[in-house]
Amino acid sequence: MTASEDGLKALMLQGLDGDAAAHSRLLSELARLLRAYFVRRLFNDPAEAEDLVQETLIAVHTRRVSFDRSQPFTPWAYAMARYKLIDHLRRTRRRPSVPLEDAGVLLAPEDTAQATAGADLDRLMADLPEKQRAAIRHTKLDGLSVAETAALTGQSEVSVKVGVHRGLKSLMSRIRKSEEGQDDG
Amino acid sequence: MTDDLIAKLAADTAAVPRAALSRRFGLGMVVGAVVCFALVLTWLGLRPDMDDAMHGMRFWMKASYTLWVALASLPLAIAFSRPDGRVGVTPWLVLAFAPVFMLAMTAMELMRTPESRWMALVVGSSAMHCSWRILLLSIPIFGALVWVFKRLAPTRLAMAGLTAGLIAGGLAATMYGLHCQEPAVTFVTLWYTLGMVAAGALGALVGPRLMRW
Repeated sequence: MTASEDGLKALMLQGLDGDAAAHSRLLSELARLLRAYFVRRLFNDPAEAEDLVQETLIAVHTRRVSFDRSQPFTPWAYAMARYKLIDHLRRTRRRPSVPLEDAGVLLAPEDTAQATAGADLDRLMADLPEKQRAAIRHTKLDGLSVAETAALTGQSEVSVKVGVHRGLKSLMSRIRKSEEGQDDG
Repeated sequence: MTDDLIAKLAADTAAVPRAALSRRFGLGMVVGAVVCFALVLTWLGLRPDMDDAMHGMRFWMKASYTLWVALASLPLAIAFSRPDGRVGVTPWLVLAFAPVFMLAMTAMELMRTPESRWMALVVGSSAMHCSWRILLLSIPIFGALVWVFKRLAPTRLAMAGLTAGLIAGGLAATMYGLHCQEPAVTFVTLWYTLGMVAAGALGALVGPRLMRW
C-alpha cells in the first residue's frame, strides 16, 4: 500500500483520538517515507539516516500536540524531518576526518584516482568565497535542496542559487585554465 | 530496531485533547505572570493611588495597550510553535494596530500641550527605569514560554523567540502598570513600547539557542 496524504492524515487523526493501532500504522508508513527522505540526502551513511528516521519518529510522537487538525499531515511531518536533518548537519559538519580503520581502504589503488579528484576539488573550491563554497558543497555534494541549504547556512534561497551559479562558473574557468596550463607544459 | 521503537511509541498512544496546545500556552503565561506579579508586589509595590487610578481612563488605556500586545502575539507564537507554522499578514497587522493607535493618541496629547512642557511628558519621573524594569519583569514569563516552546516543535526559532518575547514583554508591562504612576500617553508610548520591543528582540536573539529540540 502506498502512503497518501489523505491516508496518513486519517491515521494521524485517529492516533490523536487515542487509537494506538492507527498510530502504529502511521509511524510504520512514515518510517518508510523518512528513510527514503534521509537516505537521499545522506547517501553516504545509511546508519546515520536510520538514526535520523528514529529521531524524527520520536519527535512526531512526542510532539503530536503541535499538529493542527485543520492542516495537512505530510508538510507537518516533513518540516520536522527537515529540522532534524539541518540540526544533524549543523552538529556533525566538521573538518572531514578519516577513522583509523579506513586508512587502508583509502590507499587501495582503485580509489587513488577518486581521492585525487576529491583533493583537486577541495583545492579548487578553497579559492571560492565562503558563501559560494558552502552553497556548492551543500547542494551539489551533500544533496540538499536549495531551501535546506539556505536554512542551514543562513543565506536566502536566492543567494544560495546565485552562489552555486557563480561558484560553478568560476570553478569551470579555473579548470579550463589549469588544463590549458597542462597542455602548454 | 526501528520497528521496536515504533512498537514502544505506539504503546504510549494517549488521546490528545483539541485544546492541548492553547492550554500549554495558557499555563505558561499564567505561571510566568504570577511570578511576575509577585515580583512587582515585593520589589516595586503597587501604586498607592490604585483606587483613584482605576476610576480613570489612563490606567485602563495603559493596561489595554500592553495586554493587546501580549494577546495579539499569542496566535503568532502558536503558529511558530508548529513545525510547518506559517502566518499571514493579518495577525501582524492586528499586533501593529496597538502601537499605531498609541502613536495617534500621543500626537493628540502633544498637540494639546504647549511645546515647553513636552519634555515633561517624555521624561516623566521614571523614564530611566521604566523600560529596564519591563525587560527584567518579562524574564520569568519568557522562561515559562521557552519551556512551552521546547516541548512543541518550532522550526523558526528566532520568530518563536520574538513572539515569546513580545508576549512576555506585553504581560510584564501590564504588571508594571500596576506600579507605575506615569500619567502621560507620550511616556507610555515611548518607554513601555521600548521595554516590550526590547523583550521581543532579546527573545529573537536567544530563542535559537534556548528553544532547540
